[in-house]
Amino acid sequence: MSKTLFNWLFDHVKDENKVIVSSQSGDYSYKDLLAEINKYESLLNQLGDIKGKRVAIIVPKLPAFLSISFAVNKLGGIFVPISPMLRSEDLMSILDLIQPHIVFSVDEVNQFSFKSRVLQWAENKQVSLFLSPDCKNWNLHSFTGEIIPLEEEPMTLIVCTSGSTGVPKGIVVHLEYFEKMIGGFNIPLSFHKEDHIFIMPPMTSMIGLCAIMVLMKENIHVLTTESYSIPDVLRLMQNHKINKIFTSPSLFRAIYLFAQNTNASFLDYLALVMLAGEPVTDDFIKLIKNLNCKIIITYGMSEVGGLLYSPLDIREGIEWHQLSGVEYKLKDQNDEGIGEIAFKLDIPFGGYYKRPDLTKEVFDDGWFLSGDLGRINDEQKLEIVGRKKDMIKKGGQQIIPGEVEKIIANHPQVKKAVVVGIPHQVYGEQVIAFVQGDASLTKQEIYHYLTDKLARFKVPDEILFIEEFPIIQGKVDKITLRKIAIQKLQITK
Amino acid sequence: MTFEEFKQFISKVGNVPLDMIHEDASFRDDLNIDSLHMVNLLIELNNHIPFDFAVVQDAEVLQTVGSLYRAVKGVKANV
Repeated sequence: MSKTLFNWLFDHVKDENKVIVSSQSGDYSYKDLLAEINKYESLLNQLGDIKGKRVAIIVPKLPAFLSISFAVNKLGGIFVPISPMLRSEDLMSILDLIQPHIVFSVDEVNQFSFKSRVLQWAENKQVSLFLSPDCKNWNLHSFTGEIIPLEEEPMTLIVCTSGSTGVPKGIVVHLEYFEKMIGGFNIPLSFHKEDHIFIMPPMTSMIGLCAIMVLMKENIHVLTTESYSIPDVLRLMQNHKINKIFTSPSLFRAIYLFAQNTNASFLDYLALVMLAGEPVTDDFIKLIKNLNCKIIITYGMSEVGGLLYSPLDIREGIEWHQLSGVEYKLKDQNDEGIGEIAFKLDIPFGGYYKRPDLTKEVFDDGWFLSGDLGRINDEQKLEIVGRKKDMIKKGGQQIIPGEVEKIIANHPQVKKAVVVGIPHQVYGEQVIAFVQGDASLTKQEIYHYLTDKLARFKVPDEILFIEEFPIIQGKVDKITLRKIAIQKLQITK
Repeated sequence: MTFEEFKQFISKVGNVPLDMIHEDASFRDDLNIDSLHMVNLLIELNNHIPFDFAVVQDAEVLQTVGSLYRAVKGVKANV
């Protein structure tokens, strides 16, 4: 068998007793994790050989989440992290896409029963479910029925994202991705063995998971949060003297606003903030102008990892540099020199799971199409000017308008729904739904309908009713809709 | 700000039906207000009635509608 992620990480550990990961669940050394991994290996061994089996993991506690992932990987299975923030519709479509042979799931998160949804999904399929109320004690439920074929293509894991039309996408990831990303994190973060680095992107996201793995590999203490409640985050920061943090501008804004309005010393140890996931606004720069630490920005994509970074403090400007092994070009430039930024990497994109058609759309002759628009400015530097795709970035999370539109449009009184993003002081961007429907339909009715169907962050922040949609070249004119939304919300305020 | 006005404020900013908001309602479990929405709610609330963020540092304070109301009003007794 070729080298596994488990071997890559654990084969050369020098000090097994060093605390390497921490979260609200506690502090864990390599040795603690190895003991947990053994426990999960024994659980999985009950099921026989798991080579080529896909194992979905819906586990919000860091130690269990990591240990299950490593145990699956060690035994030759393919692990599939699934966000515990998902709700019925998005969860079901991901399970349908992945078709896991085994599922580890917590019973309930915030009163949403994953247990009942997963049990329902498993009916009439030959699958094994490990369910737990506390992510410690697991009960095995075995189902019989339709046999799910084994995976033939070798892969380490599959990471799920919302697809552009509301149908989810799985990104196939190999070990090489993690190996390459050592540089992707080390260059901007400049690792030091005494660092305590806080990774804020969720551990189930590609970027969050990859950062945890890379830091563990480099023997750097990594912290991650199981809760996005700001007091919980701040307590974790204060208890561990965090000196570097990787986060999105909107999450950092939330932390900073809180810390600034209290006397506590949450940010005293902070030497470096590395941002990603959203553009930095003038408003953000103004807010953090007096913060006494370096703040830099990086650019990457789940599909291919880190691509660009700016070594300057963002208060001095942004100057994009490529990370090693990355080339870029501007495709189909218009008269103003603006084109889609395409990247060529020294490791190939693993592709979208079971969707060669989608892979072909974004991966053209070795070049990965980012969906972001750029131009070369007067100083001959790359400048990112906007997005070609209409994805919304709220609080560092990506929201695909198509997914939200489809679910609202399923309401019997809705004729059509169009979702756009507009700027917001806390979220970065907020989600606005324009709805064309029956005269008797109310906002509250739509909010009620969306409860339990969509992750909370995807639920529109505002719903605006519209009689006719503005149309341009046969398509809904989202630029006009954004203007209408900004105007209407300003008037209301 | 009376408790009634506070409820109306949460209903408007959090997009939650007014009848679901009561003293013991949990922001997370009953009103489905996640942490980022909570930060937004606190910032909007601070614009409305300025208060010291130190009073909402404790996660317990952010549990229920009643506990947040008491904290920002600076009262310990029940509303």
